[in-house]
Amino acid sequence: MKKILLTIVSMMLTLAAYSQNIEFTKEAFPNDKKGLKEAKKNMAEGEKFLSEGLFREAYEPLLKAYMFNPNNAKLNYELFKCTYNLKKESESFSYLNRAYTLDPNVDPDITYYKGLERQASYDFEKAIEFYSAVPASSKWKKTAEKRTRDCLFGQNSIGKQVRCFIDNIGNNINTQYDEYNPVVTADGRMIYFTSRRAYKKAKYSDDGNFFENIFYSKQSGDDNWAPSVMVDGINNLKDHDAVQGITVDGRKMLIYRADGNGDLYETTKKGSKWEKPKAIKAINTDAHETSATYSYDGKTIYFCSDRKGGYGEHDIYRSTMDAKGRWGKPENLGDVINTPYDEKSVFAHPDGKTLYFCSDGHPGYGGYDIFVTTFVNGAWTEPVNLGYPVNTSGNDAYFVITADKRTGYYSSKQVGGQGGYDIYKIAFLGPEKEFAYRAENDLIDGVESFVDIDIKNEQVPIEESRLTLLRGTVVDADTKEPIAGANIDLYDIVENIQLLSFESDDEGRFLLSLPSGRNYGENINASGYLFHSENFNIPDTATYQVVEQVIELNKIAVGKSIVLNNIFFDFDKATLKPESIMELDKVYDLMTANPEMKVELSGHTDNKGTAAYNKNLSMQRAQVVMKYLLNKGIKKNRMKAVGYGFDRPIDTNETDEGRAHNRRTEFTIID
Amino acid sequence: MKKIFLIGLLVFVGANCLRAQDTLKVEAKPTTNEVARRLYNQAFELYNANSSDVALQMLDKSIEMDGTFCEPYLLKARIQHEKHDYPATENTLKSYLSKGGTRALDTVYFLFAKMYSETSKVAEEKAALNKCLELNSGYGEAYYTRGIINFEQGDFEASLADMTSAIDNGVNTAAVYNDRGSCHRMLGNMKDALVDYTKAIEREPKAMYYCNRASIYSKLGQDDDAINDYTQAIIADSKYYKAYNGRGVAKAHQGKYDDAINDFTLCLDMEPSYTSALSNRGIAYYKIHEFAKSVDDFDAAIRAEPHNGNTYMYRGNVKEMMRDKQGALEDWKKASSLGIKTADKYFKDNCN
Repeated sequence: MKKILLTIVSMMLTLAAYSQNIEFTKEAFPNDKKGLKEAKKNMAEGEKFLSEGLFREAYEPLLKAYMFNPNNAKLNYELFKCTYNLKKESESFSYLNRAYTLDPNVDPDITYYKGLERQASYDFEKAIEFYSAVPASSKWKKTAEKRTRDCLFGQNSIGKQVRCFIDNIGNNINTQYDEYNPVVTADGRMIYFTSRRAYKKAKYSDDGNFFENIFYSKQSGDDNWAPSVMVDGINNLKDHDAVQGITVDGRKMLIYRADGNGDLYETTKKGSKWEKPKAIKAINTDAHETSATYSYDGKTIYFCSDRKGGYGEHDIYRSTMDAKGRWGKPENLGDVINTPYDEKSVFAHPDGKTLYFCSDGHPGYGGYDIFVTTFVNGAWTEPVNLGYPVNTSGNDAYFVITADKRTGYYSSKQVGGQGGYDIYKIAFLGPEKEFAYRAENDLIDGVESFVDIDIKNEQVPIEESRLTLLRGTVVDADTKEPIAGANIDLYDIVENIQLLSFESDDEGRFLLSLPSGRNYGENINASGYLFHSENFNIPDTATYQVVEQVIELNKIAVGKSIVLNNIFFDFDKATLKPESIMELDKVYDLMTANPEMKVELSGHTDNKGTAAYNKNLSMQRAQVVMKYLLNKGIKKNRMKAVGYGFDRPIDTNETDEGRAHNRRTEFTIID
Repeated sequence: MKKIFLIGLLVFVGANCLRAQDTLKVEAKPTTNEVARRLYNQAFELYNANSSDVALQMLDKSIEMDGTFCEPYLLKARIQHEKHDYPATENTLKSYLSKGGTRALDTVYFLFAKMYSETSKVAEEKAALNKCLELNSGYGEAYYTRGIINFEQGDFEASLADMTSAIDNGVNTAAVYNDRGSCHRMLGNMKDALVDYTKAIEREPKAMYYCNRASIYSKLGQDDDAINDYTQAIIADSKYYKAYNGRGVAKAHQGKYDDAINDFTLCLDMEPSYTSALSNRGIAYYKIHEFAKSVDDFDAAIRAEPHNGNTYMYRGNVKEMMRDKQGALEDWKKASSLGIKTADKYFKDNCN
């Protein structure tokens, strides 16, 4: 019935384009006094609800009055206000335009709303005209000025579209209900999101929709997602649970719950199960805490809050973990990012320096737009609008992007979706591809042309992702079985600081983000095993790459060896470089934990140079390592230093890479 | 008696005087040089009356008379050159030189140069011009001709110097200003190029000159001026298809893609296989998201020019936007194999 009514209303809106304003008077309706009386009654009822802000209640009686007389400016304007507040934008603007046509002065605020309507249609020029006509005394004047700036931005930038494909990610994720807040692991293989869908024993919240709950799905092939499933153990089912952020490896999650005014919770995945979420007391206040994200190393949480002392409505803050694993006092990110308006839905990219967020304070196309900022030289850069069509004249928020910056996800309400808000995937295509026009000229009179003029198009470069995604599996070297709970420690070996430490999951897997511009030492260890080390010296200019590893751990047993990959010497010398300290301390820890263990520390070289020279050099190097351990307290009788020269290569000496592998220090259990 | 004697004496003396005059009046025979000249003059008249064959015969006779008289050789060489009998032309000129002819040697060498030009003997042509200019440093035409050779050889500085010398020595044609403008252009002196192209246009409003000036405006970002000049070129010669193409490019530069497409289409109506216009129209279609039409144009451009790597790359770029990733990769790979490094980057970036 409602649909039929709406259809009739639409037709009336369309057909009666050139009517005059008709009041609800006897003179206007001399032959239908009964209808007029009913209509006036409906109108009065609707206006009463409207004045109380009860838009849903006001809608029906106003619509009934409209069926009697669709040509009343005031009634059309009131229906506009109803539907606009009920977020029925397209229907609301029809009423607005009709009201304006019937009487451009029906309400002092109509020019402001006409500006909104034009801006929503990307008619920025007209929108600016309407905004400039908003009276100085109007409560919307300041907002109109802000929206004018947005329109100017829109005019200048709408032509420079971001090259991308935007697609609904399908009905394994999206339903007829609202789905939003997508978060993905850095490699894009798993997605968590919030949904207000129906399920068994689902309960309704006060707004008449089901409570928010957290779901997940895994990639099941090329761009396909497996059917989504509710996450066990973290949804409380009696109230809202909305996922906000996850760590790079997907082992920790930030959750929003509607406790008080809205608080943030944290949960950790042990094995395959999520622990009970705990409130983050250091962050939560009486204000509204929402939208949060982890930094790439899991040691900082960025979140949004409307607490006092900010720059506007919601601001973005950060809290950093101390050495004891406690979250520190939040600090506001400052007024480069935060505005007198709203900043929300923050996401920290795994490159360790890029932040995405939505705002209705920075210049945009209208409503909330998504912005990006980078931390460079100790400060955040001026946020940049991601551009059309990622941003639109509507509200665009909850944006996340994979480590390689090629795939983004966000939620939007669009025609053609499954219903309500859906999650969409954005495939970024990168800067505009190169094209060049050709024009040939006959430069010399009487001679055939041979000159091309190339006019190249301008390219708008998009900053490439500068990080290495390290994806590994830890297995037993003998059985090849995965080792769950292996410790993975990541160091900056130049600064000799530990960056992060976590465990492999129950399938022995782990996922790390290594932002470019650091010399990393990786140490993987498990109880009963010798540790394994790797070195990743990633220059600042290195762009996105994925490194896959299978780490084989040897059990602690006589005869087992490890290569100490983070021991470095000066060229052609036996002088230890400072970057070696971390690894040497790991050896010390291992020997301390196994007091009966006796080891051989051996030096090896490539085949450049004489045998005698290399034997001597490798011996000296082994002795230097032994000396370090002696000085730390390991007894001499537990260690033996040997120099093998190039007698025991582990790789070819025909290539640079092979020779680099052969130049090494080894640790072998001899007793 | 005395009177009769005197009258007789007078008659005798007078008769003898008369006889003497008769003896003086015996005509002197004409010299071979004079004959040669007369024959040459006749040949010249016959040549001007379009009787070149008979003129040649006359010239041969003139040369027989006096082999050192150079004018017949030059006219003979000219006639032979016009008949495209280049070996004969070369022989005639060489004969003149071998006979020790010394007059108009600069012209002789200039004629050599023209003959070598016709037979594409560039080195010989240039050598002949150099010799001509050695003999006569004011031979404007020779500078101009040598300037063209230098331009074609990519020596734009030398070409510019020659063109300027040509102008300084009386060559004042539209062509020389156009060509000097082109030298400036190749040397990056756009403002000087504009000046010279304008001088060329002032002397002769030729489509080619307008197009050359238009292209300079395009390079300077003055697209409206470029469009005006291309339009003038079209007015001067409605069949000068390159003007439509150039104007289309200028309009595309202004973002007026529909108008640009119209111009490219007009160009292609005249020259359906003109790959520049096909490629340009393909790009313009891409800009307005008419991807299928864009691909069609690049397909045609590839058929016309199968070894142009850029066209493959562009087609790949369009296929990417059509979500034909496999097609895009294939085209970028092909473009890369034809030496387009940018396409190689595209291919590697998108292989996953």
